[in-house]
Amino acid sequence: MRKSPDLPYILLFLGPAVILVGVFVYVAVLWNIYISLTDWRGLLPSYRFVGLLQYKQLFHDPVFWTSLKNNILLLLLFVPGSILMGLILAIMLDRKIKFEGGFRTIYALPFALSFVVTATLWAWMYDPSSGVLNTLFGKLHLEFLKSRWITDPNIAMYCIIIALIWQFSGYTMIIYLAGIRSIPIDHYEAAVIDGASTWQVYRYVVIPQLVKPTLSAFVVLMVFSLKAFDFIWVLTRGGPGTSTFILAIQMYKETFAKTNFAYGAAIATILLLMALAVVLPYLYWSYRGEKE
Amino acid sequence: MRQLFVYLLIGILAAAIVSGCVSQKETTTPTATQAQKEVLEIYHWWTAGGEKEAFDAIAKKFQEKYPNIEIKANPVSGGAGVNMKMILQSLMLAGKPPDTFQVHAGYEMARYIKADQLSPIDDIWTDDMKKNYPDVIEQMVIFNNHYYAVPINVHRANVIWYNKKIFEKYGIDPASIKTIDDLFAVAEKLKENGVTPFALGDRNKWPATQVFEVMLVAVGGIDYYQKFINGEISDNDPTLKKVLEYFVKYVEYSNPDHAAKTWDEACAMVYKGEAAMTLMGDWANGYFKAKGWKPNVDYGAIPIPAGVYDLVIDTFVLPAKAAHPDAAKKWLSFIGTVEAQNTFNPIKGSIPPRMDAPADPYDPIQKSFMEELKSPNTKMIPSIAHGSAVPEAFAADLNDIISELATSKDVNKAMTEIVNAMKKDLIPNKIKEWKLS
Repeated sequence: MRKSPDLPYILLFLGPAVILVGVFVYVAVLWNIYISLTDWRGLLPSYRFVGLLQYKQLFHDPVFWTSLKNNILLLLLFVPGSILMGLILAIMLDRKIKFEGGFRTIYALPFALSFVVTATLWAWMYDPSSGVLNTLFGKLHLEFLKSRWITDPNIAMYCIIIALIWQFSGYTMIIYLAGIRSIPIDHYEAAVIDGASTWQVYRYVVIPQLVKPTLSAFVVLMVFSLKAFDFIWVLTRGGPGTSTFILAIQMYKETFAKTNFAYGAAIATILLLMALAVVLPYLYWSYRGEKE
Repeated sequence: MRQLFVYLLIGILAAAIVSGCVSQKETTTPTATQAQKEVLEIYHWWTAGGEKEAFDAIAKKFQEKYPNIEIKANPVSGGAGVNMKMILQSLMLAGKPPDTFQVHAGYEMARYIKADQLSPIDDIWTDDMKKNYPDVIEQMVIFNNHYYAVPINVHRANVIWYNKKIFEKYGIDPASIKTIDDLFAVAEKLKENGVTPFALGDRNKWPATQVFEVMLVAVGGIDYYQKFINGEISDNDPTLKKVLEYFVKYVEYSNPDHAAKTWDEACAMVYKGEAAMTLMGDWANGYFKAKGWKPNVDYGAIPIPAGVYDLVIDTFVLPAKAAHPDAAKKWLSFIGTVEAQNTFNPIKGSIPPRMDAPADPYDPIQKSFMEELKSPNTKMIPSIAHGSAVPEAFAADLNDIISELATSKDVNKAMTEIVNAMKKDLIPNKIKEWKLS
């Protein structure tokens, strides 16, 4: 206690923030977990303890497995897709082209737009009869590229992933651009002196030094793919049928449309566990990385 | 250690003083306001063109009648109140409801009634109102033998809107269409001539459910519809199978990209002549008028099936913990009058639920609907798709099941899923028994 004479001040000023975070984040999370162990249904709270009954029902629910599968699909396709697209864009912009500022703005703008706005735009584009995609392919005599897009339950999820990659690649582009430009010019000069080609410079000098930006983007994209509610809700409403349900949409339906609070809380808890599985390794890696 | 305690004590005292000041301010203001003016806080979802003007008109008239009541309107945008329901749910659970709010008649109110969050308003329902409201509409606001809401308008969910030019071109007489088989015969004729018979836009799912409920009453009749919404359908019911097959047939007569369009985009197809007709509620009337079309000149309306009125009713309710219940009751009494309903509905595009309202301010289609509502031969049903006939949990499942059926065409799977959803989400949440005939 006597080590730091500032301790009383530290406690005084940190206290309110800690209390606010503790109550509105961690207590709320624990409250949600508790509700998922009850049988609450309807607007009248009911806290009868039923153990893991909600989770048991969840595992027998085919919609849950559809939602989980779609979430995993987002993780496996949207995340690497955005990272790869962002990296390519960043490398191209880094080539000292004309109008770089303009191009950077064009690519970054989608990320600044509301998901509701962009989802509505993509809905118009994906319309099989009057959307710009099929119309354009028709005009260019590329009939084989025409598709039923979001009206086909087998490919609707992939349409969503393409649209989300478009929206987020600008974000990853900015991260990578910052990463690339933080590499000292000496590294490039040394590589060129040693006779490296352009491809080899990027392959062996630039990309290995982009591990940190990759991980930062990775975590943000991973967490978003777990909670990509509003974009999908506006674009397909989880349809056709339940073909583009993700866990967040199922949680919304159960909690707000059906007032199955305990069931919705169980889904939310599973989402929390998935998010922790993504964030905790990152935090651990960050901590360990800094120590080195 | 002593120093630490001193600092903490000072912090606590400061917090107490601040909260004390805040508390004092809060208690003073309502008292002062109450002395001179009453407040009426209203939540509703009428924000789109036409709707907003309609609400403003009725609020103005209410203001003229009760100058000492200040209306504090909280419009929350989002069709059919999807967003407002979330907000209301949070407010109710927090014990801080508005003085009154908009809700569809029927089961959409049930979540609040089961949680004792709405007050009965039996005293608002005068004999005059009971005499002039149709029985089924009255039934839609009664739970456990108590009245809980006052209907302000009537929309109709079972209307075929058709492009008059296309009908005339192929010699189709709209008066000959009374049953679903009549409708499909016309659709077949149009299809043979290369015209898309129906425009459907079910991207948001409820339009497909609306088609399903119309098939339900058209194929099964009123008695079967009543059985369905009372949850009395057994496994492998042959009538349900037939209904679903008719639904699939309707979809097959529709534009193949229905899952990419919304209801107004489907109406746009009729407007542009890309499809002959569309099954949609009478808010489509407002759509076509806004496009500059004239009723019975450029477009027309065909009730399907004839003699049935599929009700979509907007009402206002009295929350149990409303801060200003007296003002709310005045509002509820007011919207139950001819004066209020004939101020609101001509602008909104719906018709008044009171049968004694004069028809002068309405357009020809609305007038014919008003005549039908008054006719003793008309059978009325509460809408499934619009939150009235079945518990919301079942309606949410039905939306997904029918949406999938519209794409997969798998009738047997849909049958199984509907019956399962009925057992899981309709029957456990059932709190009223419908009597439609």
